[in-house]
Amino acid sequence: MAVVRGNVVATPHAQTFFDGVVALSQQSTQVTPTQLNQSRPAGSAARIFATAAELDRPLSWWDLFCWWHVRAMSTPAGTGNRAHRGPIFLPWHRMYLRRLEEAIQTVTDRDDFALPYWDWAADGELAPQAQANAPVWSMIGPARGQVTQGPIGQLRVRLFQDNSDGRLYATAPRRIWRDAQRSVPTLPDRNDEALTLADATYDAPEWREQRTDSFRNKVEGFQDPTEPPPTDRRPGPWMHNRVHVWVAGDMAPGSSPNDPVFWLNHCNVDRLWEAWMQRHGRTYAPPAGQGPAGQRANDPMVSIVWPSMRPAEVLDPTEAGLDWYRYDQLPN
Amino acid sequence: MAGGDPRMADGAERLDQLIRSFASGDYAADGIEHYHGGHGGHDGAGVRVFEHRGHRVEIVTRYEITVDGQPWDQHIEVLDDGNVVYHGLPQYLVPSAVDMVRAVIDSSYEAPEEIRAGVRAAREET
Repeated sequence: MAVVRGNVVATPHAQTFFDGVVALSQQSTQVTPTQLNQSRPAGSAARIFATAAELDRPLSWWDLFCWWHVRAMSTPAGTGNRAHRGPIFLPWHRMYLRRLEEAIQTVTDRDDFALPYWDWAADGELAPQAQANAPVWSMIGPARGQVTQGPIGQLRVRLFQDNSDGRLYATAPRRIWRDAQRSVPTLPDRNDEALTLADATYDAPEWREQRTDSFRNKVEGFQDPTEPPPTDRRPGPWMHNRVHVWVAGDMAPGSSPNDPVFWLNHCNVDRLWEAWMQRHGRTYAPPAGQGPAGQRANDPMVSIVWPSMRPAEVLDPTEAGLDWYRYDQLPN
Repeated sequence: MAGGDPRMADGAERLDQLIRSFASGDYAADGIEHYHGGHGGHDGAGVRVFEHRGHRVEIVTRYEITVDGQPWDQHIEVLDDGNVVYHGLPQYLVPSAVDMVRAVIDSSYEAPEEIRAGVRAAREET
């Protein structure tokens, strides 16, 4: 049954989302960091460092989703990694979000549950000083500081990619934290969104930031969608990337799926991809056998727990074979 | 699982089935074939290669960075227009290494104490 994804500030699924997030953070996988460390090359950035006690403490389901993200982004591809900085960005996150949606459906016993999205371009229309006080933050905890109250006040996470040395650590269970507007003052706005959706090219050689003019490069956030002349460039990043940087705190490093806002952001990005496909066609590039390895239409996408899928298999979330979800509303 | 709610127990059982399958495969990721990266440099250096009017140009950039007197030896990659990116902050695209290291300090060195304490404890044991 295809479920219907709605805006987090309006959909009744928002509360189920918060309940599911907390439940997954309290549900043990019985998988320890030590076991995960034995499953992959020692030099990988997905290796978990911790005290002996924390290495043997099982991770929660929420933590395991976080580790999956680090695992994918620490696996190299012909350009970027196996989840970012290339055409794979959109299909990999579509698969990843759907698995969380299914896990929340399972843990809350709500088969009709659908992930909510955060329409951040709407908040980007607000004055900068009002953006950190938009309605979403009264629902999901403050945009600055540790989240100690509200529907995810009980959320505890353990993984943290520490960029003082680049390692992934497991700590004792802790609260998430945010640091909004420290690096960039504003969210993307409607003009950014419209110009991104207007680009009819999904992706193109050289498939990477600043050497590609494409919808994917704009929506991921390495290309300014306004395409200004060099003398009038705005500081980046843009779109999806800018949302991560704007929220900051736990949203900054590779362990960003710790923060439920990660999922609200990516659900909106997926919604923009869906809007783009309805406008320009359900196409993907590069095709099989062309372009960067690990990002082509028939290359397997990095997955744990659930079987891998290929980009070509996830282009239509409403098709009979998937019957995953649709959106209540797409941008014009 | 919270509260012994039978609905939750049913969900837990279904998740347990998934984990048993994951464990039976030694926790290996699926679709993990390794591919070589398409760019980058050697020994922490970034290399930009291009041609201009028939001339092949190679620009090698290497940073030596310390924070509080301690080496910070992560790789910062320079893009064609001089903006920089860094794997550890995958969404950041900033005009210089100065901006990137500021972001690293904001997001890691200045993280809340309960994070820093966990990281310190792990380092002391390893």
